[in-house]
Amino acid sequence: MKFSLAIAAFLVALAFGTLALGTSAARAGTLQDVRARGAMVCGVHIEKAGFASADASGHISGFDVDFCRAIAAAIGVEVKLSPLSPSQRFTALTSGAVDLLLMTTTENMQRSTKLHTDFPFINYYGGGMLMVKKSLGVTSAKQLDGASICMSGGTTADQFIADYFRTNNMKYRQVLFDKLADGFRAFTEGRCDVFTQDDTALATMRAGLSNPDDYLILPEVLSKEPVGAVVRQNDSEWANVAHWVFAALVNAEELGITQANVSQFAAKPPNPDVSRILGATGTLGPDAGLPQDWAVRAIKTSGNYGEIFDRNLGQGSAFKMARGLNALWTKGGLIYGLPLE
Amino acid sequence: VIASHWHNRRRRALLLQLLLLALLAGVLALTISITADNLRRRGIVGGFGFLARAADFGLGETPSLPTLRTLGLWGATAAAVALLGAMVALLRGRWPSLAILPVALLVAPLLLTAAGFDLPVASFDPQHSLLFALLTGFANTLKVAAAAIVLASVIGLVVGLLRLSPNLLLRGWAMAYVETFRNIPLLIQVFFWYFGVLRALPNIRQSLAVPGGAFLNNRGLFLPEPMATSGTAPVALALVAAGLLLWFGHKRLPCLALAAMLPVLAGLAFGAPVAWSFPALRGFSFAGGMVVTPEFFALLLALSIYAGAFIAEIVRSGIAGVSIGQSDAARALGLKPSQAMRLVVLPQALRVMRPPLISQFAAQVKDSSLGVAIAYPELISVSNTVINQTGQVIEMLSILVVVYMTLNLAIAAAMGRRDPGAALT
Repeated sequence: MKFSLAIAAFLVALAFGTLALGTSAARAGTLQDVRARGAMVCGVHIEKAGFASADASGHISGFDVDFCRAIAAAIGVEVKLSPLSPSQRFTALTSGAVDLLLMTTTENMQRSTKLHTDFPFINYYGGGMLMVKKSLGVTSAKQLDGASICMSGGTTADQFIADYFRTNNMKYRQVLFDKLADGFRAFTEGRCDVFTQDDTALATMRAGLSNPDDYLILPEVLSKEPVGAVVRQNDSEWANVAHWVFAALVNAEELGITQANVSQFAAKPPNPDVSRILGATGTLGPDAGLPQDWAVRAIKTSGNYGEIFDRNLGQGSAFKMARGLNALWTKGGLIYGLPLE
Repeated sequence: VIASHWHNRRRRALLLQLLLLALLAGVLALTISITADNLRRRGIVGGFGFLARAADFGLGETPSLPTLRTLGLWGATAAAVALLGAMVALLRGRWPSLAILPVALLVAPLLLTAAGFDLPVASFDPQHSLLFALLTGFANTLKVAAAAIVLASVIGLVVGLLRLSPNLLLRGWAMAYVETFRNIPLLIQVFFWYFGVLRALPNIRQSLAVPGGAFLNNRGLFLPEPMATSGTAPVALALVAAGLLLWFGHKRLPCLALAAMLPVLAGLAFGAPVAWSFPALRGFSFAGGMVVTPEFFALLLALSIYAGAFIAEIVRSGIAGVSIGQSDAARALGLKPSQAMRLVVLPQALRVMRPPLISQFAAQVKDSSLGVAIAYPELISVSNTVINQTGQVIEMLSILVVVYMTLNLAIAAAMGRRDPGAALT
């Protein structure tokens, strides 16, 4: 009898425990949570060399990772990287498992309304493209009627391929893998005629092959893929932090503030713009719930936008990608630093 | 008052049960209300209306399925056939077998087509609804799970018997098989077979021509496909009628001859029952025919070989569970060892094997979800795509729970049926 009573007591305790958990799940703003935790959890996709990948010792680096680090540094907390697959990412975000996603997520209307997310900034303007083996003898996507196409799930690829082939009245056979790397391997093993992804993945994956010259990226851009950060809907304070840290990094490139000279600039600002961004004057940081020297911390950690691009994707990396659409607006690109004041 | 109930052992037990039930119901209600509250706070609209939306994505394998429009007609006819079958069985003084249901489902479209109804089946394409995409995924799950259960049972039976063989070499090989495949994680085996199969097969331009009009390459095994003709439904119905005649009729010559003549006559009257569509290389792929994809084949192989090792052990333990006196007695009666196994030992072992086999088959249905890793478009793979597109996680997870549970409960019901003839006495 005592035993049964113990069980009953345990169950009652369990019920109250669940209740307590349930109420604590109703959270305050993400910025407060991050500060209280002392760490910001950033969802990344570590299968995308250049954007995020792990080296032999498990250290994760890349274009997206540098933005995670910059944002965390601006708040003054640690960064925790949480590797996610594309198909897990929105569930991880809406359930609160991560604070933001920085994993080449395409912004579109459906995702921001239907999936209840906000996109605070776009850090790369890409496009959905196709890769084939040169030996196939194909030079245009229009010649691909009946082709088998390898791709990976949780992306926009299955949709833009379906649209493109329907528009051009062609047939195709889809081979959709859960993981990007498995799909690419099956493609190189000859399972498919075509491999499709954003150019964010194609260029770096091709560069990683032992025989990159045997492969060709077709000229057609099948879809626009502006990719960037994602946060939960209805948390403007948190979205602002991500939005303006990014803006500060772009402004830094425009103003010539670099990782190397940021300390000098902060000590002796050459003009009022630099002075305000770096927090020598004004209250830009505290108004956003950030430290006074938020931008200095961010730039010191990751460098300006141009430095981040060069280090991970551009001339300073193995991929040697051109800036293209991702050059500053003053140089014919789409990267435009919104004014901070 | 409570104290008096408390001292009665049975009432106390009942009271505790009720308390437990109430607590469980409370926890469940709390979970649901918290979930609903959180969903509302994040502005997520629940419900299953999204399933009617157009899919706008493709799928790799799209078996023909009855369209939702015709499902009602199909179901009603099948129900009528099943009812008729059950009545006949009851008239003959026995309970209808569960086999009536699948037979009725197969006979129904034949009857409808023969009666002149147009019974459209459709293969999924991006314009179809999300629901149809999920149904296609479910059909792919069923396809691979059913094939794997049959193949694994055959492998398991053979290997299980070999493990008991008096021949040391055979016994050793069987043991090596079981210990190897049982102890390696299934996901690794799935990848091993998939990339192994891909590497072993030739490029599409160097296809192996298989006699009979089939081709083998790293895009799959392309087979001639039987196509329905005007003669299909009449001949198939004649075959069903012949089967009924053999089942119920007298086993005498006129009856047998009639049963044999029926399908032939139907074929002569309405035309050949099938026409063949042969695959031919056109552009990047084969046109015509049907294809067994490397994804399906690798998943089938991995599931069957893995589960075969477990079933071998179930078979071995089942046989070992039959008293040694049974085979001694069989031998004393003059039966050969093979006869003793087939007629005396195996029938008894089957009763012991049934419960663990049910679990094993259920595990295979669930394991088929690993197809998601190698691009086999089964239910989980399609669900992931749907979740990614719509964000309706809770709804999709509840659909998955219901589908897999129903499937496995159906397997358990079909196999665990009380059969008085099979009871151990």
